[in-house]
Amino acid sequence: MARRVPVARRALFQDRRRAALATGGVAAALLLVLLLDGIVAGGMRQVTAYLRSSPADVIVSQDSVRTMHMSVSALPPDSVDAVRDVDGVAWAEGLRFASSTITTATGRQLSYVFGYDPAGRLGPERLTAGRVPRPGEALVDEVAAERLGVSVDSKVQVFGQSFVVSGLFDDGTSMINTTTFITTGDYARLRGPSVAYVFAGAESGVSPDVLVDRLATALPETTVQTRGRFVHEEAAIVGDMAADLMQIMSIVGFLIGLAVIGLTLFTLTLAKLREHAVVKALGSRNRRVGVIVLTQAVWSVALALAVATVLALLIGGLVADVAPSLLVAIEPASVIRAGVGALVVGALGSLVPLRRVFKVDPATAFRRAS
Amino acid sequence: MTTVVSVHDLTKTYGTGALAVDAVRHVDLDIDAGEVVLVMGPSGSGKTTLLLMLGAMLRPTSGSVHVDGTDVATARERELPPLRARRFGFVFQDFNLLSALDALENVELACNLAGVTGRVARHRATDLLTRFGLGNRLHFRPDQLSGGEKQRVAIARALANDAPVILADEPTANLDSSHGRDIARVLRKLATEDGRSVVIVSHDQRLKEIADRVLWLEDGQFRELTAMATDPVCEMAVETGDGIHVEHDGAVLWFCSPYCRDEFLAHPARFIIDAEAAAPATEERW
Amino acid sequence: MTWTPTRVPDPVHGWFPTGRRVPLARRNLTADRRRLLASVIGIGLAVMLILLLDGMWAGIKAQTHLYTDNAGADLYVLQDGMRELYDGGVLRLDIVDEITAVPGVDWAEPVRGTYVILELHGTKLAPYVVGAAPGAPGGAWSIAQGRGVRADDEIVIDSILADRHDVTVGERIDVTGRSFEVVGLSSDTSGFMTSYVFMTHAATDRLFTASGTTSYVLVGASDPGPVRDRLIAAGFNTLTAGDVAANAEEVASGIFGGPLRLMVIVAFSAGTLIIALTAYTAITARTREHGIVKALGAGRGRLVAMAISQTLVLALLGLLAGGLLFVAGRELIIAARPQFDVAFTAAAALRAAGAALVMALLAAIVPVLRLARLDPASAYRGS
Repeated sequence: MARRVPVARRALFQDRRRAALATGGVAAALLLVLLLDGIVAGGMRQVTAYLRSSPADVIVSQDSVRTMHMSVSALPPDSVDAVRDVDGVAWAEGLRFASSTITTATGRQLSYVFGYDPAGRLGPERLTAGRVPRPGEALVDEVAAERLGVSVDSKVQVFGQSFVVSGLFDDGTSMINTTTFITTGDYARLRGPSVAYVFAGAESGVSPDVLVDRLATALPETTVQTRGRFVHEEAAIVGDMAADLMQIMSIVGFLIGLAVIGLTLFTLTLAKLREHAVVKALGSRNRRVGVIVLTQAVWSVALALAVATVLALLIGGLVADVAPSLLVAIEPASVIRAGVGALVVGALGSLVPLRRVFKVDPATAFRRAS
Repeated sequence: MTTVVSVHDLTKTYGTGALAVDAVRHVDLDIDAGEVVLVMGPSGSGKTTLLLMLGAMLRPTSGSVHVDGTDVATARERELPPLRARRFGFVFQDFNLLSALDALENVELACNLAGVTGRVARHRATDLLTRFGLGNRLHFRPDQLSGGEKQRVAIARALANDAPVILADEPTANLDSSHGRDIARVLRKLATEDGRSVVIVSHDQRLKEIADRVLWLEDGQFRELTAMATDPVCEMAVETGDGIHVEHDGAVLWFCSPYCRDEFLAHPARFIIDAEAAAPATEERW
Repeated sequence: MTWTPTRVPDPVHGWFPTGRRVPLARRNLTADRRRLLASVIGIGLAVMLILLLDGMWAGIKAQTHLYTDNAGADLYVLQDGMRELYDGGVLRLDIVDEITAVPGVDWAEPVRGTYVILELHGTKLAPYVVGAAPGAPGGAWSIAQGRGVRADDEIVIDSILADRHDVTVGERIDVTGRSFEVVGLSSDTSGFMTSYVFMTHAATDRLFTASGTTSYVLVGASDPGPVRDRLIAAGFNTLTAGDVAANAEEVASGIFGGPLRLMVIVAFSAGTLIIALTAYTAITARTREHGIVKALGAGRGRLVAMAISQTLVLALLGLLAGGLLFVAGRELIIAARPQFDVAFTAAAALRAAGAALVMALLAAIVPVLRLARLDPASAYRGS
């Protein structure tokens, strides 16, 4: 196709300041949308971080207990062996769990306390300091440690008992809790022998769904879920509470952001109305004028989206440095959603002022005001 | 005669380095009170740039413009607004009316800036516009006025502050001959009866009639007006000498460009040959 | 045309006229109505954004002490080391008599409070259950429908919770395996994290197999200060209602406050930026006009004053629009999520107004100072 004068691009970039302002306005709105979305996504991601990083395919809990948050689950200690005996189970480990607080002389933190086998698969993904706990020792997540002012070899109170911090790990703090690990033996000694959950891995070739069915049959008094399902349930119960509000805040930001984008592009078209009338006077059809304006909107939104995404990532990094407990997760889906929303609203906003150019004689539209 | 504006070695360079263009080069000029000076010259010769510098609208690159004991070239920024508001009345080439204000307010604003407000300003603005035949257009906004009407509002605005120096960039460009003549007469009268200085930049030959001096600016410099003629096709003032010319009916005709010449040669009868224009012009420096 | 030029009065040597001037700033603002409307709505949206997110955060913080605000107690006796009610805690029930015996104590009531998991028509919820003696302080403070609990198998649930899950008075629901009859729906008992449900103290004893204990003791005293000191001297961990409220707010902020506060900050920053850009765009759209006015002899002061009055009016109109949009947005949010309270606080209003006005000033001053440095010729041509 032969080259045509790129009127839209020229019109947008000829007046650099105006282009920068319009693109800046759209970028500010998109940045708002991306950051709010990122904070919500980050918060939800943190809540399920432990579960998502677990190697388990299937999680067994007490009958009708589907989550950790706000739940108490108790299974007989021999459930672990019962799970292990089911055909298709490669491995099974019991996890003891209670929502509690860990305290020091200077502070207290809400914490998920896990009793686990340090030699097994259910510990934190990686340690950032120290080593796995022995009896009388605990692993505390970095953010909790910082808030409590403790480090390796410090003492913390767990279930009213003093423990020595043997190591630290990351990704353990979410908006609702911190995380502490003690040995399964210590846990049993302090809180009784029952396990809260049994985590199990499937043998290769056995799908988690099949395993869920087999386990449900083999252990009738339990609730068996795939890890994915468990993550979903956990996110849902947290989402029903704190995150519901965050979602609404995010939606408010999204709607207002889109409205601002529409207005910004509306103003941009308005400023260039005379040029569009001239193009029409030169013999252009309404459609071409519309295409010019839309192209301009696409350019603005694309540029603004790029700028906003980069800024959002930078700000996310900055937040992680300043406040390690906060995670701003800029997800591709969120960028796409914001971009598509901005395009639709931007296109509408750009086209509305053109009605005048479409309807009246070109001369009426471009008569210079002075 | 007292000199009102004194220009010495004035130069304006746009751009820098290889892209530098001298719009005005080493110009000297004194303008006396009560004098009408007409500056002519081809497009792009630096006429408007010169006028803007005279009116304290544009800083020269070098040289001086003395007005009322102030050198506009070196004056501090805050000394310039009072000069613009009280010493000069400026008619812009493209009118520069304020689109948000109606005709009356456009003129009234100039009064306000010169320190006249309230009813006095309003009365004066109404008076000026009425005298220019716009009594029934007072509350029209610029986009509701024709080119000629806008031109007249712009001239009324230039007179609103009662400035001793009127600077007009193509003041008759958008006017029909009757209104153009009126404007020319007003400008002449301002000089004769009120002792004001009037500097006009124009292509309009008719304005020669009212000018005390006609200057020819070309390539940013004043040239001797030894031999000027009028292009019979476009009616622009053109230099004689080595310029494009043809002989027709025993007279020599001068043209601004080969296009005008070819157009003339195609249908000579279409163009009324002004005997005065055709004859080699005499010294026009009055 | 006959015209004799006249001299105007010389304001420098004669008199200073103080009459009406052409209202250029107003004309500039209103010349293009659509543009003005777009700018006002733009600023209004930004203000609405700031107010809404700020208001949601403030509403939540207020909801963290919904109970202490309404229970009517002056003092709270908590388990040692506890600072607020969410901690739960366990106290011996017989300390109520010991507390009542302390001079200055008008009344003392044990209350059990804890989270329970409730399944309402298939949805799992975590309301905060309050167990109190029927008719005594500490129970449901406002009944919208039905009546308060009298028997141990009765429950009053929050009306918004009931509405969301289609629970009606007379229905029976299960709470951790025990059946309760819904006898009433309470109003003003919905927090953002959780809603309140009420039963008798005895019912909670059975539900949690914890007879002989309670969670905390509510104390009424006409002069709480000295009574608190006496209770502390007697070995009771006693806090004023205000302290408990403040601690609850602090703990709630500590738990989920990080992300929420960050969202409020993001909204404020983005809103401020949007206001600045909108005002700046509105002013720079008039650069040519400002250049002309400068060419006609307006000094820097006049140009700045003109631009500032233009953006200030814009900001004020924007604030007004933002206020109206906020009210509309708040109604929408409350209609969609009745459990949320979107508070309108003076602090939030001041913050939004401050942002709008400061940005309006900056947006006016920056381009005009830039213009002041330019030759008028470049200013009106350049745009």
